[in-house]
Amino acid sequence: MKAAGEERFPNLFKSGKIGNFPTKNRIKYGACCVSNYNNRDGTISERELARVRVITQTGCGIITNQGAYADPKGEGKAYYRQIALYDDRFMPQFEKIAGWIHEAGAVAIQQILHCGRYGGIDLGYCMQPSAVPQTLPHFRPPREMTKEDIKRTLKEYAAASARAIKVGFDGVEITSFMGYLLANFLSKFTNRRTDEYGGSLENRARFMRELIYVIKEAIGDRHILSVRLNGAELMDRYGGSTEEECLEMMKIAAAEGIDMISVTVGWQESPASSIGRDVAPGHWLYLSERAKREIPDVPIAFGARLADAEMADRALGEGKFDFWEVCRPLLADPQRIVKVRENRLDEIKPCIGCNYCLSRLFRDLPYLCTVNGELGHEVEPEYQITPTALHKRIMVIGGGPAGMECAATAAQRGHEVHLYEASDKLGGQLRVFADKDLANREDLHSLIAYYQTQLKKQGVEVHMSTPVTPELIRSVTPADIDAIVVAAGATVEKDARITGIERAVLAHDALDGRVAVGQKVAVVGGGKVGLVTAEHFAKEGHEVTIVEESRRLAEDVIPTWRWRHSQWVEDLNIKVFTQVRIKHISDGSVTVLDKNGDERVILADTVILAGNRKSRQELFLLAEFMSDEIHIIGDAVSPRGLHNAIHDGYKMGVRI
Amino acid sequence: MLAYLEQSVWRDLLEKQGNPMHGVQAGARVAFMAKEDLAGTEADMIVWENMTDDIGIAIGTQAFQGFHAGDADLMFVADAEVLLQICTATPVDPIKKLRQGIRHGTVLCYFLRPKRELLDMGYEEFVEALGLPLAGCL
Ligand SMILES: Cc1cc2nc3c(=O)[nH]c(=O)nc-3n(C[C@H](O)[C@H](O)[C@H](O)COP(=O)(O)O)c2cc1C
Repeated sequence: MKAAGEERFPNLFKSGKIGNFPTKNRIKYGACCVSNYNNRDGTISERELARVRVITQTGCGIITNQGAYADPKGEGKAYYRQIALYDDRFMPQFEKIAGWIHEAGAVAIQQILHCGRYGGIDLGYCMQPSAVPQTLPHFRPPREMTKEDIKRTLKEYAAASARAIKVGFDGVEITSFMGYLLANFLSKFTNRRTDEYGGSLENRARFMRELIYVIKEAIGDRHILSVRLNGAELMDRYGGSTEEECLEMMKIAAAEGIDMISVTVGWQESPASSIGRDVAPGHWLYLSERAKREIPDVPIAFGARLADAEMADRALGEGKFDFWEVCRPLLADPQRIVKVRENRLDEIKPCIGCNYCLSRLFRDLPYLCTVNGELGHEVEPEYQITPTALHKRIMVIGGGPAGMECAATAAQRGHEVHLYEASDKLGGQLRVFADKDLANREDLHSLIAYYQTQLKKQGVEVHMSTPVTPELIRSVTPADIDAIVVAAGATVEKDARITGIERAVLAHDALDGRVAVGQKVAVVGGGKVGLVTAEHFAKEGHEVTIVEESRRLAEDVIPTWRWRHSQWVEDLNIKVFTQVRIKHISDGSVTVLDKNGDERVILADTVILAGNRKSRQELFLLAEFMSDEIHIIGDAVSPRGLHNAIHDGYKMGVRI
Repeated sequence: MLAYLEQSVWRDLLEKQGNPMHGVQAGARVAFMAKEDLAGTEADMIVWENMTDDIGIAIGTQAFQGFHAGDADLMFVADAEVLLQICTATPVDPIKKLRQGIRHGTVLCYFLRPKRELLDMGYEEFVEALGLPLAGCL
């Protein structure tokens, strides 16, 4: 009998074919891949193997294993703990992975990845078609590849591909996503060669054609070769290739007899968003649609910033691509496809497109996921949701992300959980931001909706509009409650040393519409609360000034999102004063002191306080002798980010 | 000679502006070069060299000998016209102009030293003021 999701999404769950290999459905696990969990010598770690086990259970019809570099020197290696396949000694672990993928009934593909312009992490230089320096700070100076280098690279690719096939993979994939070596040859921006590898489109494609040729020779006709190509580099502003040229490159690849084109978007250096939260889901669908139309005979895989099963199923039905290629959404919820198949969409933990995963990779750290506290810890039993040995009644105080995550996780383990929320809405600060966020609001709202469903499904008793007081705690403990988890969040505090502070309003009150806000607004605090507040009111037509004590804005924002705020601040004409301290608030203005001690007056009808966040720890301290067990999580520990709140909640939920 | 290569124009600019490289170590150098020159065989570039705090930036002209000849830590490449606009626009704010140019693709900022060296040289704030996404715009 068909599962409910198979009925609802017939296109996603119909069988398919890639090369000679049938696939059980139309879903490909996108090379989400370079995890930085591995060993420095390129061997795969136990941590990674446990993670791969989870990946193989995702239910995808095709699974792409993470990109391995193919050269012994490590010129192709961009990530601190990237895996290698330049020698036979690496093969046994790959064999294991191919076996697991097959056990799960999926087609197994190994990505071979030379990172080109971003490579050479251990070497102090990188290899490129031409020595064009990078436009971001964290890479190595480039060396131009000689023809010998090119030949050697082709050989290394072929040898690594042959190894992958030998250990049981059904095919290999090469990639130009993110601006790796293949992309460097294809792009006008990085390929300025004057020999047969540069210049015309045909010449720039020569390396790709030779690569396809040598890999096909190495793996034989029976096996799959998939090529990931940018539908848009987003480097055209810098003189890179246009979308039309990208399409031409795909046609050239197709003519070489490859088995799949995976359409991707953007380079690490792109000066525009490709897969961030400010890109609307499905935005890039036109690129795969065009590829499909122009190259009808080669299967097209696509999925960048397209997490919604409904949208994917429709696009497949309309022939806009042949395989839905999913990456970050499967980091957020590895059970996503299983849940889609069972039509349990409301139970899917959404990928909010925040790129926390990537921001960690760029710091040479293992990737983690904001919403999935288990990711990266699959090998550790302490991070698994297991039935509790001792059934407890737990009081969770605070219905923000930390509290909700903790409550749902603890309840899943068999505890009886009561969640108390002082206001009449769940979501805490996340909800306030979600309502006003200038990026795609739906991402954050969908996370709150997910938690609401989970609380219900896991049987958490939610007490709304119920502020927790010492009296309330006393009335339920110790008889009825065994443990208390304080997840009361943080609040912006008024600094009594500022004269006229009573005239100021708090950011949450202003954003929630509980207080009137005048035309001229001064927002005190240039961290994320202040930025969202300032951007919201500027967008609404107010004249906004941000006043920040430290040297710069967005100190508490993840690196992959800071640039976004600075562009909004600039676009919305928000005035910024950094390294200033508020001295006095009067009717219509605020007086600040700059770093030299000089006074400045900023006109403001309303002063909104958005800095000086303080954890709410009163209940934690107060309840010490009221309960057997007491814990504190999230912003209540210290005001931090969404990922900290969720991870704290998860870690407490799995162990309490 | 292209008009942007006039050292006096840059000197005027920096006199009005204060030191945009404030906080970067003495001896640090950023270069400006015309895109049209980059394609040719011989070209000059304008170099800002940060001196001590009292002196500010020294302006010089230097022959371009390749990106990695060690002559500069960062290099801005744009049409000569755009470079001229940056150094003559009012109100004076070259960093803002560079930031806007980078964002719209009219100015390219090349990094000629690894991040760690740039950080050690005190470039962090200067780079951030250029609005450069630390990890791309993903
Ligand atoms: C942590 C991470 C690592 C990735 N590593 C690779 C890689 O090694 N090779 C590759 O071709 N794409 C890589 N990607 C890109 C993804 O496969 C995918 O194209 C991209 O994330 C957009 O799809 P999504 O919206 O489903 O995440 C990576 C993405 C992430 C988030």
